[in-house]
Amino acid sequence: MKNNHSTIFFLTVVCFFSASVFAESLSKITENDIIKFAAYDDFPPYSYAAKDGKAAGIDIDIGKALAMELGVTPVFRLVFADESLEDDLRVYVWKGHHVTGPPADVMLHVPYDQNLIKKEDKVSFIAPYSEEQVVVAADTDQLGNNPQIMVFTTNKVGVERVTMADGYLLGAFQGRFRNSVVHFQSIPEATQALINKEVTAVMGARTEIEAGLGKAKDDYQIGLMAMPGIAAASWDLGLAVKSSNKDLSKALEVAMDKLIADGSIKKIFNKHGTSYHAPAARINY
Amino acid sequence: MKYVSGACKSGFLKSIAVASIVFAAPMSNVVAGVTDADIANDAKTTGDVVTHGMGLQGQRWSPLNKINSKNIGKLVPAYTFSFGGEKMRGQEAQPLVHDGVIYVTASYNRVFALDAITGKQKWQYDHRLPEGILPCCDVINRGGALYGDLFIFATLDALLVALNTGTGEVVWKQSLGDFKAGHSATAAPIVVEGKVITGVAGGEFGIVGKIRAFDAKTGKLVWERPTIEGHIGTLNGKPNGMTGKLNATWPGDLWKVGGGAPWNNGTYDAETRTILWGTGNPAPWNSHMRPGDNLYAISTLALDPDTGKIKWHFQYTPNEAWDYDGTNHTIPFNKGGKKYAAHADRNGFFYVLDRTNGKLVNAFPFVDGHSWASSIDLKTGRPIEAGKRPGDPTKSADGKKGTVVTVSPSFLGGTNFFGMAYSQNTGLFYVPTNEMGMDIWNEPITYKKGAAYMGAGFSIKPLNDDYIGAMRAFDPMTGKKVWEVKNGAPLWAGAMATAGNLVFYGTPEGFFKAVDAKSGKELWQYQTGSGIVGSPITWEQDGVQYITVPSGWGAAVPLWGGEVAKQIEGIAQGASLVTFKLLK
Repeated sequence: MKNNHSTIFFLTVVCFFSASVFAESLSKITENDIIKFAAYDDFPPYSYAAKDGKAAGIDIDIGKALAMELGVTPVFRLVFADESLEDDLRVYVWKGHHVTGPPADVMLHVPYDQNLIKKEDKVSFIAPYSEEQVVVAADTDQLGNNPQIMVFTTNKVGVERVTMADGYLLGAFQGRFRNSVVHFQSIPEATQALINKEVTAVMGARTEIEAGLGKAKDDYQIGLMAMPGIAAASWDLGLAVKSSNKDLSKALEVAMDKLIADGSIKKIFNKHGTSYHAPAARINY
Repeated sequence: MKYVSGACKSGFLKSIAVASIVFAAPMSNVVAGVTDADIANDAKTTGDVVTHGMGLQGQRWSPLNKINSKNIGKLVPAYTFSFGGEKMRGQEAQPLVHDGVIYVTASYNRVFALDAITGKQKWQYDHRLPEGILPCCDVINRGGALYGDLFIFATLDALLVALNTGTGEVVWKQSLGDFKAGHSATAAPIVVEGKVITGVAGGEFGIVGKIRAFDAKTGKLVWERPTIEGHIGTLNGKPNGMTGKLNATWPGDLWKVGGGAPWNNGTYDAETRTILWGTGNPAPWNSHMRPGDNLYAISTLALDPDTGKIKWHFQYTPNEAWDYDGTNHTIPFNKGGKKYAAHADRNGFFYVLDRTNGKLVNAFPFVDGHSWASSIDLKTGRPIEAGKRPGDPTKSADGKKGTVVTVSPSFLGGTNFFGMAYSQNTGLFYVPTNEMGMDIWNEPITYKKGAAYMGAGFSIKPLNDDYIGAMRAFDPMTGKKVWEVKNGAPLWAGAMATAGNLVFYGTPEGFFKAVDAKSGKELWQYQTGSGIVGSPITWEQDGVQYITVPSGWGAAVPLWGGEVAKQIEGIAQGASLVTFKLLK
């Protein structure tokens, strides 16, 4: 079978190439002029493959801006989210995997959380750059102005499956909202259902909801809602680097400080049609 | 290495002869190579093994007795074949053998065809795995199915692939779902009357399970049966009735993302014309979010092979909360003129069902550690739960780790996918068991795809100091444990019983063992060089009985081991097939 020969040859070349450029120290990154970023695939507006096949989105633009500060060329690898962040960190940041190869230099869009920092000693969590919030986008035609959480006792609310919003609505108030929850595979599917009036509201990550509604955004009331008992209504996003790679961490932190201070990060969020919320970790210094 | 030899075994004359013998079969089912009759009679014919489970009933039983408890001391390796290179991961397959050729899958979705007597390679097929597969539980595969001149197996990127048995070239491919959405496949398909039947994995990603039948010759979909109530099945592209009744046992729209992945293979009972297939966990993981039984997750489904309609079901763990997938085999057997089916569940209980209607006949624990439930109510079939259900994460508002519940079995189960064996001579089931428990607690804030959600933490621990695994023999009708052989590490490989009064099984420590089927006395063992997580087969060729077993440590135990890790430290990786025969 000729195909087998070419496949094996291809894989060998890819692995060899990969091994020489993944998870390098800052000096190697500078020498090779390449920094490898991992970002989640199929995750608009943060990171996704654009029509031309190239990586695009907020996180990708942040990666490009960081690479420019470091004076190196960014390369992006769009990866799939496994069951938990710990799996992703192992495969894409500190260890690699026998199918997907060695890890990247930097992973984008990693939560910046003190509990994680304590727990994961193989990873440095650095450079928080924004805050994600659990918000409700409400169709005020159906729900009226300033709806409160109890409206979901009877009104359909869309969520992405296995998210904080999903778990909260299924469990809160002894399951009072459970039969009103409509599950979608992604926020863009949920926001489309909101536009189609199949649901009265969508609950989930603000940035994804704002981008999902796009031009229709102003037709909906989008904001924080009092959600008694929710485990986390917001969290910070930052970068993850292998903990041994201290020089790279330091360089990225310096670069991120500058990009936040000069408004570049905010501009990137706004360019993608979303509002910017500074990370709590920086506000609370 | 030579990937394909030019030697294409000519089965032409033979196939004509076969075609004339199976005159009773419809013309469309007359094929070269492995016939419907070969498959139907696989458990009785000793010259080949053409099905996963050594017969569609999955009894892992052979009537061969040339190798027996008297001469087992003379069993020696005939050859060791290396799957080779740097691809030494878990080898979970059961090989097949037909017409003097062994067909076996290996890690990374490779397939090897070997001369069964000499171990000389005829061809190798390397499936190209895309980078985007979700690297969950090692790059394993559990085997394939033979039909006509096709070897059919499923891949980690959720394809069903049919290879030409003579050349290893791809004849057809069929998608089982988008691997990027979490679909995956590792089980061996089975072929029932010309249809290849398979499930799909990915319940942890919210995939709704589907059991499907494809035309084995073309790969064209014939029927599809979703495993969760509310979903509509199909037959020949047309709707074919809903699974269950909408919202009967599920709240809201959770049935839409309800899991129930049938990730292991099933069995087929020709006497009742019934496919018996197990289903996995309901989703989401926390049971408090989906009050109700959550049918037909964690169940055996009895399906009509022509249409995929559900004849009956039996659910093992209603409103499942511990990751006790119901995917272990359900194995038909007869006793006293009655038709039964046996199922040793992950939840630690052994069930005997009337396979004509799914009614419970007997249920008993096959592990000591079954603290989640004291017993099974024989009238209702439901467990008597012992108050060990993990808590409701939404009740922990402060975001801290919830209360730890210590419960057994662990989520790896009292036994798992690999399959017990049934001896038609002793009437006993031989079950590879594991005595493990787990701590399970809520983590109100964990992260997935960069976002917070409510998850859980698990930690596995052995229940005894001196052993985890135990090969056990049970009388299915009385529940009596007739014997056991303890093992340090957890057992993770299928058993095989033979008319030679022998039970064979492999251990993670690398030993392939034979024990006396009646007494459990250890008679023979051979160190294969790496841990065994694959299943043995036996056949005879030119009057000589052979046994072969894959060796190669990996799969779920080293990934999930927790404290169990201490028991499996230092097990070498490997990747080989070891074939045995008696010393002359």
